[in-house]
Order: sequence, then structure tokens, then C-alpha cells
Amino acid sequence: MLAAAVIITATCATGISPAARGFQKKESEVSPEARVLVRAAVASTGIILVRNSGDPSGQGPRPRGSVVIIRSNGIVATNHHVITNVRTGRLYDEILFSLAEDGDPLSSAARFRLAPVLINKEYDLALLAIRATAAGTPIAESTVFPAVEIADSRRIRLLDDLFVIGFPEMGGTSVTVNRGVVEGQDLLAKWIRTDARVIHGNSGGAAVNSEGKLVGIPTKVVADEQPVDKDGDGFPDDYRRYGAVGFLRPSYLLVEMLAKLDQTRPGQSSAIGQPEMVEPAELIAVHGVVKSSPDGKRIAGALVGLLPPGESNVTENTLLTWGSTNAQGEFKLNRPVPPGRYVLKAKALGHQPYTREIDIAASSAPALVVEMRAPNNR
Amino acid sequence: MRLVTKLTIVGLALTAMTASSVSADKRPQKIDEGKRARGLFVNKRSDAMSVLVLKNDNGSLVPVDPSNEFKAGDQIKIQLESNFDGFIYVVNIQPSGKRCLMFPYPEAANNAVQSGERYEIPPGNDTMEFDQEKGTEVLQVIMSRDRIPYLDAALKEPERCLAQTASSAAAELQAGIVKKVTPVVPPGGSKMRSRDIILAAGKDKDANGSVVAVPDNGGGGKLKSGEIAPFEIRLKHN
Repeated sequence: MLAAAVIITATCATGISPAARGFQKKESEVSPEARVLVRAAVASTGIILVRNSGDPSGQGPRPRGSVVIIRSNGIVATNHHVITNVRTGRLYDEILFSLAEDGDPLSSAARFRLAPVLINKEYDLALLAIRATAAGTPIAESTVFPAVEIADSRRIRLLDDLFVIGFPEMGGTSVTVNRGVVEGQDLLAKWIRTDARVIHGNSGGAAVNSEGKLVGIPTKVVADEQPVDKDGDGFPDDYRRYGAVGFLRPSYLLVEMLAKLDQTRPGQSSAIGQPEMVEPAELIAVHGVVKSSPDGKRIAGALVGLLPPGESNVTENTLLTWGSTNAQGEFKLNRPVPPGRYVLKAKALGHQPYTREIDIAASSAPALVVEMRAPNNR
Repeated sequence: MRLVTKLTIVGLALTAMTASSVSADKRPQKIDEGKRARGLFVNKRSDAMSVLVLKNDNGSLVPVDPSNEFKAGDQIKIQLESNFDGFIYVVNIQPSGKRCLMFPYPEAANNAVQSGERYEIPPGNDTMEFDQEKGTEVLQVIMSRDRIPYLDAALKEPERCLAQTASSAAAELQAGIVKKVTPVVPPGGSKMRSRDIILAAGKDKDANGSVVAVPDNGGGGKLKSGEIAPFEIRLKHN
């Protein structure tokens, strides 16, 4: 029986049974240098607490997820869903955080107030500025926060070590670190997949490499859930969860957001006001025809695919979208892509392999024309 | 629109072997080229095969010219016969571009063919029926002396279709690996050479059917390791 996929954001993944992974055994394989660097990254991680203005007066802020400092002047990153009220779809009125190493995060003495400054709904990411202490005292401009260094997440490879740092609910209010590896990537949808445990509360925290540099933001988990027929009547009565795959937003997205923040608010990273919203990019359905050169005949059964720019190796991780031609040589790729530069590859029986860099600019762009040559030996 | 397999309730006069005609998209340029192809097939001077398309006509399978237009509900059967021991793959390219292996068929994953043996698609009493989806169905027939690993890999995919997953599509584009570790084409396999073919297009109700042969120019009519001879049969469905 095939497994059913259940997608859950990591802030509400309570009840998922993580796969048994022999944590102690893996821990023992971590080099002393990596331990030092990863522990240093813990200092950049904090817990998000939220409150609505309509909450009962005696009710204090409640833990909601994790956060990581990415600039020493007080810019932090987390997930959009961490700071959003699920029922209303609006940002919480009060967003605070406590650093992992500042003692009890539920103690108001160690809290800071955050103001959202840039939100990317498409990738469920948010940048916030530390603007004041919990008591409302403004943060001095000279204050230096312990920011994590951002790695080039485009360079990660399969089975690279990953360490997830955050405040999962099951870990209480103390910081939790666990280890896994890069299991795969979805370059088009912009995910890094990991077997590191990502559960309720990890959202918005940090996933760092063995150098302690930020490679991703834990964002969601997909559980492997299968129906169980307890009474043998042929119908499922219950579901059993066997494991989960954690999904991280790659850190290069944060770099892009920081660049945008610098463009729109130069020198005002701690400015207060409405956060800027980045709307999802327009996705373009790519289509075209494949012809034989030089006779111009349409080729049926050719396979066409797109890779990231500069990529030459075709793997399941680098192939963004693909499709094959019909009797008229027409193809339509199976996933729309954002505008940008891509490597187009095509293959057809009786023709030489085809590779070309292309620019996909707008949805109104004309159909691509791929001309494939017969091999030299013919 | 795609071909679907359907069990016929009519008796199929397969043993009578009323051979059909087949038209491929690559028609002969000269009339004598057809005679040459038939000669190569019969005399086995070149690797060649015959392809027959039979249509269910009131319970009997009769040869049809595939260049005719088919309509929804028409039931057909394909017969293949090679004059060499090797491998044959038949890929159905559907109007949507989806490509699925028709031969070897699910019941017989081994597509090794023997000279003089006749193979049916689909086997037994089954036929293929045109559904409501209109367009042109392409049957891509590939002759080879070797197995073609990326096509073999498709046998294990859902519906036996190619490029249904990122890993299988990547393997085909790369022609080197599939599912990360399993090689599908040996070193140098990505340089698989394609041979020209010559065609003897059959006529309607022609018992001799159509013949496709590798030209024997310079005595080189036999497929070598790493060489393939692909051709297409186009079935119009309106």
C-alpha cells in the first residue's frame, strides 16, 4: 500500500513520531571542531513568543516557534507562519523573542520586541528587526547581537551534515539541537530535505552546517502516514505515522531578502512600520517545439528539461522541470518556472544531445524552438 | 486520447496471418527501395523487421493501412517479426507527449526477439482500442542488438511510462544514471548511434505487410553493439 503524504508546518506537527535514528551514535561522530562551531551558532538562535492585543490581560506571550539572528544590528529571520495568527491570517500584535543562552525564555527580563520589516509569503519567510526590550526601552544603535554567518546554501551536497537548532515544543523552553543530513533538494520549489528531526516549534529556527553556518530555515515536515485496518473489514480505521522528512528553506533566500531590504530601506533596518510584502513571482508555463535540423521535421518523443543556470549535470535534484514531445513535436514542461536564466537540455533518438542556455522572461514569450541535429556518423 | 487495452469478445484469426500494411512517417523515396527492403528482410542480409497493423472488423482481424484515420472504438493489434536475434522496443507516444512502453508488454518483460518469431501487441486475445482523445498516436519502434537500459528502467515505472519521475527523466537526459546509482547505459552508451532505415510501405490488405530494414550499404546492414534503428508508425485518430 502506498504511503499517504501528510504535510504539516513545523509549528503544528505535534504527534509525529520521528524516525528512530540513533542520535547518540551520530553525535559521537561529530568532530570536536564541528561541536564548537555548532554550539556557537546556538547563541544566535532564539524562541518567538506572541500575543494579541485582544488576549486576556493576565495572559502573557506564548511560545510560537524559533528565530535566528542573521545580522548583528538586530535583523532576525523566522517563518511567516510563526508570526501569523492561523485563524485570522494576520500578524500577531506583539512579537517578542528570547535568545537561547539568556536563561529562561519565559522570563520577561531577557526578551526583545520585534517588528516585521520584510515578508515573503511565497517562501514562508520573514525578516524582523529588534527594536526594543520587552519593557519598551529602545535598542541602542551600537548594540551588537550574536548573528549567525550565512552559508552559500546553493553549494550544499547530498548527505552533508545538518544541525537543526530551535525550540521544539517537546523540548520545552530550552534550546534543542539535533543532527541529520541533506537528503535532497527541490531547486524549483526551493526546499532542502533533511532527516534531521523537525517538529512543532522548530519552525523559523536555524539549520546549520558543520561549520556552524546557516544553510536553511526549518519550515515544514511531511509525515509518512499509512492507513491501518484494525478490525480487518477492509476499511482503514486509523492511521499510523512511521517517520517524517523535514523541509528547510535554503538560506540564500534570506540573502536575497536582505539585499531587497537594503535597497528599500537603506540604513533603516530597524525602522518601524508596515512590513513590505513580497508577492509570489509569476510562474511561466514553458512550451515549444522540437525540430530536426536541417530538414525542419518535428520530432516526436523528444525529452526536454530545464536545469539551473551553469548546471551541466542532470540529476533528479538539478532537473527543475521536463516534458516530452507529441506527434507534432510539441512539448509543455510539467512545472511552471519563475522568469530567469536556465539550461535547456533535450534528447531524442537519432539526434545529437542538445544543450543551450535560455532566458525565460514572460508568460507571453513565444514558444521555444529546439533544433536537434542528426549525429555525425549518419 | 490514448490507446487502451481491451479484451475482445471476438475470435481473432491470427493463425491465418493475413498480413497488413504499415506506413511509417519515413516513406521510401524510390519504388525500388521498397523491393530492396523486402529483399534484405527475406534474405537476412540486413537486420530488418516487418510490422503489421490489424483492425478488428466485425470479429475478424484484417490488415489495415495505418495511414487511414481511426475513430473512437476502433480496435487494433500490432504484429512484429524480426529477421535477427536482438531486442525490440515499442514506445507509444500519446497526443499529450506521454510516452509508455507497449513492447515488451507487462506479461513478458523480456523483449528479446528471435528471428522468424512473430510477436503481438497486445498479446493473446487483447486488442488496443482508441478512446475519445483525438490526435495522432505515434508508435516508436526501436531495433537493437543490445538492451537499452533507460527503456528497461521504464518497465519498472508506474504504467511503464518514461520520464514520469525526476530521476527517470534525469537518467534519460543524462543517459548515464538512474535512481542515483544504477547505471542504465554503459560507458560510451550515451554515444549510441542511430542507423538509417529503408522502408517498404505495405498497402491496404497487403498480406506482405510493411518492412523496415537497415541499408546494407558496404555490407554494413547488421546492427552493431551500441547501434539502434528507430522508426515511427503514426496512427491518426479523429
